[in-house]
Amino acid sequence: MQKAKRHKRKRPKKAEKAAKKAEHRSLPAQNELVSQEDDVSAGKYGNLPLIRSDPSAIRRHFTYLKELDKSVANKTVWVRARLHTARARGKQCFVVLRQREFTVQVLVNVSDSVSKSMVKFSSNITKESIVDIEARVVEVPSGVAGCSQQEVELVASQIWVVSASVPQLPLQIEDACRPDKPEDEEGLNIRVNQDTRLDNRVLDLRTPTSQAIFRLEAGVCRLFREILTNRGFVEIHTPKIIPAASEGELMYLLSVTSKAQFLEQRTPNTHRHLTEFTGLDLEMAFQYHYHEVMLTIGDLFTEMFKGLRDQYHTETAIVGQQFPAEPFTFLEPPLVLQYPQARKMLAEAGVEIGEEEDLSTPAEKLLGRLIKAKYDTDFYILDKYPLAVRPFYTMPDPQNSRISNSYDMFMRGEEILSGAQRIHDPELLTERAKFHNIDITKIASYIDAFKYGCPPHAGGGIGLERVVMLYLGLDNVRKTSMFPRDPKRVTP
Amino acid sequence: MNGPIRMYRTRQIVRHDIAVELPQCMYTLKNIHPMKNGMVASTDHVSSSAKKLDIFDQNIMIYLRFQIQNNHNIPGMAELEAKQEDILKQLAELKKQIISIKSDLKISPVQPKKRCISSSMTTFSRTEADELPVIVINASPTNPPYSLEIVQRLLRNVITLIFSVHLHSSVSSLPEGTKQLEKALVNFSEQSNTPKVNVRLIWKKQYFDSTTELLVSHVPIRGEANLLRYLSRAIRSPLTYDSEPDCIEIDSLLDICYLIVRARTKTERTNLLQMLNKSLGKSQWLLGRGQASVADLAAYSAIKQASNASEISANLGKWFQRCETVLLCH
Repeated sequence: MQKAKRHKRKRPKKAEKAAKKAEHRSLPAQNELVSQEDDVSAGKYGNLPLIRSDPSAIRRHFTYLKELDKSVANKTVWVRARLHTARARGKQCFVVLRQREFTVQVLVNVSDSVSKSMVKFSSNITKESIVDIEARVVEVPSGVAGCSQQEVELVASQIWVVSASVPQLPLQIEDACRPDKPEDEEGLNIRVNQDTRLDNRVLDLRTPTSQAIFRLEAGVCRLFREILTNRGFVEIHTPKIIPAASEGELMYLLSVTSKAQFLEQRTPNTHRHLTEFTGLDLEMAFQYHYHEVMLTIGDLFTEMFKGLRDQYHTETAIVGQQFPAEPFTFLEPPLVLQYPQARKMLAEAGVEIGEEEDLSTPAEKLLGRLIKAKYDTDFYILDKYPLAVRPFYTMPDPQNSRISNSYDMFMRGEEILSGAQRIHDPELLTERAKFHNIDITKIASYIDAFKYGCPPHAGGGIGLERVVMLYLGLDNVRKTSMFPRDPKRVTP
Repeated sequence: MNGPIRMYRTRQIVRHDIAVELPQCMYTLKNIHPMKNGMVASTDHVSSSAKKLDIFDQNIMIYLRFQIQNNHNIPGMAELEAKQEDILKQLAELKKQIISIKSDLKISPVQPKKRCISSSMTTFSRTEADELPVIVINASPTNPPYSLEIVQRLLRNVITLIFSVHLHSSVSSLPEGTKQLEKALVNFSEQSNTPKVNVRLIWKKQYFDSTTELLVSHVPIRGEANLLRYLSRAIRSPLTYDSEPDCIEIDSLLDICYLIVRARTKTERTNLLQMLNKSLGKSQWLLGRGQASVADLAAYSAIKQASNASEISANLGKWFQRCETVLLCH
């Protein structure tokens, strides 16, 4: 398709070229210097001086790549974007520009205003450089394959390099963008492995997928904040530095939104754990039953998923192109199952879980699959965990001392939130802490907080990165953390 | 002698029916072979018999015994046959008695129903609430299964269906009719003395012709008509039609209801509606019945989903009204 177009253009240009050649031949004595002076495109390409906010510099109005479509056809526009690829073919050079997740094709070909040396210059611009291009928007009826702006292409008349990249890139953006389809054996099988990506996160973040992931992550954060603010919650920021002796989970308490930062020596190297993560927590006082809180959290998730479904479908689709996953499903109101029901479902599938035993990770995943098959939902709440597997501050069930008022929430069979009614009575709290052999003196300030009256309350916290990973069905939480930290990585 | 094949006979070499003398050793070993029959019951080891029989003699003896037995069996057989005949007669009489008792009980129609309830009660109440199966019904909001509302009401003396409704993420908003059905199902006042079954109704975009799905096991039951069939079989209730004389007609009417919902064109639908009309005739309910059957439920729902008032005949319209007043309000 592109070739056919090229041939069409070539015919008039051939004539021009012949004329030019004739001109050159008529002046045989000219040396190279003269031939450069002869450059019809002189002053229309080159390296721009470093932009240092000089007030006397000319100012141009730039058009965003996503705005390039049929409506601006035949207009001349300026664009500033990254050079994604450049391919020279004789007297032509195809440049693909990239801006965020949008790409457009630019054609630089020899004409009466564009010289051969300008084409050569544009084909030699290093990948990932920032360029300013003046070009005419031309409609392409058959569409441009491989670019996000398929309706039009640009025919360049000026090309300036604003910020050049080094020629040797540690990873090729194209490789980093390549869809992850293991069944496709015919396609190019060049991939960038996770560590290379993370070592060169600056480049890796430029892929449309990364762009979409972080836009969606911002969406999760924004929706969480918006939904809770509308319900009358107050956002607070808790200290990130706590006495080392405290139990890791203690610090979540009494926070609404916090960036929890702690280095934990035993954090395992799994696909879903990070040493630093963004925690979004909520605590809420209730009247009589902790289900008031649990269902509030459930509704929060439902609303958040609806927001993601309705406002972020483009981002989800972009990520889905590279890392295919089944679309995330959920029910409204969310599915709530009791722990014994989950045990029964697992037992029917052949996995026996003891009455006071916690679910193992494989069991959780299996349960996720079973529930997905039966209810077609990727999000569900598991209520009434056994008391034995919960921390000391969890309120025991009033009717059965072996179970607790606690719940876990799951996405795609992986736990994203663990919450419970907290004990708000200092005596009971002390009793439970002693039962768990916890040094009372170390948590004195926590117990003291309840001495002056405290309403019954419950809550829970989510890890932002994990929620985004599971919503998109990604395989590793490092993909959703901008600069992930784990026991083996503190840079970049 | 040696199995059913009569062509060859093998000679018996070892006899087992001979008393075995135990060796008087220093100590006895426990018998490691379980007792198989009386013959070797007293023996710990199989040892060669002291009295060595001639194999030929042995065979003759057995053969003779067999012959004699055969001859003597003939009068015994006749006796046995007579005895069996007697027993059969007694059984038939017993059956008659039971049937008469059954018909006696049927005089008051409440009683068998009560028995139904109590039997299901006992089976259900024995199981704990969380051990009851959770039924999942996936329904498309464009074709809501209206019959569920009637089912819930008709079965209320037998079993309480407690609905909890979810909206699947594939559906963003519900139409008005669907919301009404949802409200009616959820707000149904439950009866305390009947066993309860939890049903989760999920409004979901269906990929197979927007039909209703019932999930009991791994394979879904598709179509509202089949859902009704399943329910009428699973729970013994006024809806059960298996033993009715017109069960085949009911089945075919259920199929018609299924087709009405799936009909693409108006003419196709009118033809099917006419078949319903024919079946209704001048009687109160479909198939000329005096009482509503599963077919009425399915037809009611199908008509409510698929067609409007102008498409159905006056007769069918009256029946439709009757469905709403009698089935939904009593």
